[in-house]
Amino acid sequence: MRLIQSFRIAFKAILAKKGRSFLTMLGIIIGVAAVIILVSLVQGYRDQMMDYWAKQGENKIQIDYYLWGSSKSLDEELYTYCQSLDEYIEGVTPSASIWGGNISHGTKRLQDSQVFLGSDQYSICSGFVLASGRDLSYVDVKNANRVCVLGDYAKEKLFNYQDPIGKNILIKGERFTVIGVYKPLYGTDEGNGNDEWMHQYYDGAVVVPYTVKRILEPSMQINAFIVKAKDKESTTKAISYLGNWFSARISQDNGYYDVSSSNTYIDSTNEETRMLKIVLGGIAGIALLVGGIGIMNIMLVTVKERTREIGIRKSIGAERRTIVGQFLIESSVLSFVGGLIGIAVGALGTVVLGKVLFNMTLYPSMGIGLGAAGVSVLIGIIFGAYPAIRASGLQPVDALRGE
Amino acid sequence: MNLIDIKNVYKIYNEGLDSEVRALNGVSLQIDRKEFVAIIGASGSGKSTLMNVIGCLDIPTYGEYALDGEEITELTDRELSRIRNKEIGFIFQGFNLIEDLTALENVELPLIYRGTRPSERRGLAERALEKVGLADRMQHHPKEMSGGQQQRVAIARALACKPPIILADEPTGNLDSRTSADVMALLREMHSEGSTVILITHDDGIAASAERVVRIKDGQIIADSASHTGEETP
Ligand SMILES: Nc1ncnc2c1ncn2[C@@H]1O[C@H](COP(=O)(O)OP(=O)(O)OP(=O)(O)O)[C@@H](O)[C@H]1O
Ligand SMILES: [Mg+2]
Repeated sequence: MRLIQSFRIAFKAILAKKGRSFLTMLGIIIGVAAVIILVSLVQGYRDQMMDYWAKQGENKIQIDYYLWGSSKSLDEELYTYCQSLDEYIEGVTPSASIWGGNISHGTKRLQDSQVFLGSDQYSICSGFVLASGRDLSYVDVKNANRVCVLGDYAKEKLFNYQDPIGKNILIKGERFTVIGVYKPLYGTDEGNGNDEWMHQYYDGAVVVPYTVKRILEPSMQINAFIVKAKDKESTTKAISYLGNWFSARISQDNGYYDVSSSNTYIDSTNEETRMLKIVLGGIAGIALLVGGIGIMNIMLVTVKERTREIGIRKSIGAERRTIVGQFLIESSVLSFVGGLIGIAVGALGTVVLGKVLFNMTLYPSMGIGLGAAGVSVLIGIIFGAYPAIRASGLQPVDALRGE
Repeated sequence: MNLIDIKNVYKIYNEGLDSEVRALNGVSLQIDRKEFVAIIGASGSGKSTLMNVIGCLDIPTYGEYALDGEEITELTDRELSRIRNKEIGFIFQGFNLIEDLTALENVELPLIYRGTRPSERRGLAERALEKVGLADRMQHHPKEMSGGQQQRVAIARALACKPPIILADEPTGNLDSRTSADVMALLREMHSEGSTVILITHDDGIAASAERVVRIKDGQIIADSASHTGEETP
């Protein structure tokens, strides 16, 4: 009975004081929403980076080397050595591209194209999957055949969804025959801006046997390779084998080499976003604190007014616990509703800001949101009930004076 | 046994300091059931202080006060709340309405604390407001009403519960002579229905309509028309 009474009185009070009720909730809403948005954006950035690395393919080893003042190439030797590591390695390809200028087919053009010099294992190493036709073969590489495989975007630009297989294109004035097309590496169906760029860059690839550099760019040296290892352990093993192999051939006096895996990038991305999360978590914490102080202020500023109100209620017969109950319910309801609205605003803000700022579809981190909501609800309840706990113990006349 | 039995009561503010004020300085007063008493005195003489003590809104610094045989200084917060709610209808000098509630909600409030059923509560509150002539102002907030109208809401709030004791601290202070007369008629009606009415006023004319007049000065009772020994001051 008394509880129902307290609820009834509390709801009346909330509705009667719309302005103050709203301000109280605003502090909580802002605090909670800020925390959710900040943390979710970082989380989204991290997820996107992880996604990027996943698309790039894990367990990839990058090799760079250079021999000073020597035109001697280790390519053949390295290539052979890699074949002998087939226990750990799925493929190896040069990692080099040349600027292809305007590649054309009839009147169609692919502007500012990148021509990638690949081995017959190029697609394995780059994560490409054949959509139609055939891939580069060992023979293509060995004989430096004038053939090419097109990325999805390149195909679209040059052939506009016609079947390109067997057709010829001109790369730097040289005629190449299209033998295959890769599936898109970066889909465009989501209309995702960042992915759009990636799609144009990666799927705009025109891949030729690396041996045709003799024709396209004779002076160019290939000194970077990508090795695709079978799994994480194989990556580590292969790196140490390759490192040993290079150290036997290259010293500080005659050149340099670097063997590293994308796994280390993934780890560092993880580490980087973890740091970012801590920093932003701190900022979010401050936002929450500011929100909390806001709530506190509104509650405390109205203590005088509320004390008078409590005096009136006491003088017409309200019991202490009825008053405390009313105020507890009042501030809990306000805080909870504020917390819920804060979560909703935070979720919406995350999605909207994700789209506007990063053109990504982000998902709000709800665990953090609930934590933030919990904290601010607690602050709201404590400071909302404070005047009641204090003033309901006074003599009615003293409370009426509102001191 | 008297309904109200005040014995040698003091209310002292800032006791022992230079700023010490003896708002009540040894007051003894007995009031019986169904009396109609007017308390009269100059501003600052301690009328409101005495009324607050009688209404259980304040406790005396020294002295004894028994209401209906119960020593109020010995009662718990719950028991005091019950008395304020059920026994006493207090009409404040400064109205003391809750700004955020409508006239009707203000009048309903003591009935809510009493636990009266909502349907019954509303009827009682509406009737009380009709009685004070505010049938057309029930949904108004105190800010939207004149001082006299607020005063009448406060009166309606005290009357709605039909309490056995009505304490009115200058209920006609803000009213013109016509509405004053209406309010006095209301109080007399309550009295004739069996309530004990205690009224504070500056106005000798209004005091004259009471059965008994108590005169207070500097926190002391200087005259009491019911007193057999005391001499009435002219
Ligand atoms: N909280 C307080 N602290 C100090 N002095 C007070 C306090 N409350 C009242 N007083 C003093 O007590 C005295 C009596 O005050 P009270 O309100 O009872 O006067 P009153 O007779 O009701 O006057 P009025 O006719 O103006 O309403 C006054 O001198 C006043 O200044
Ligand atoms: Mg007074």
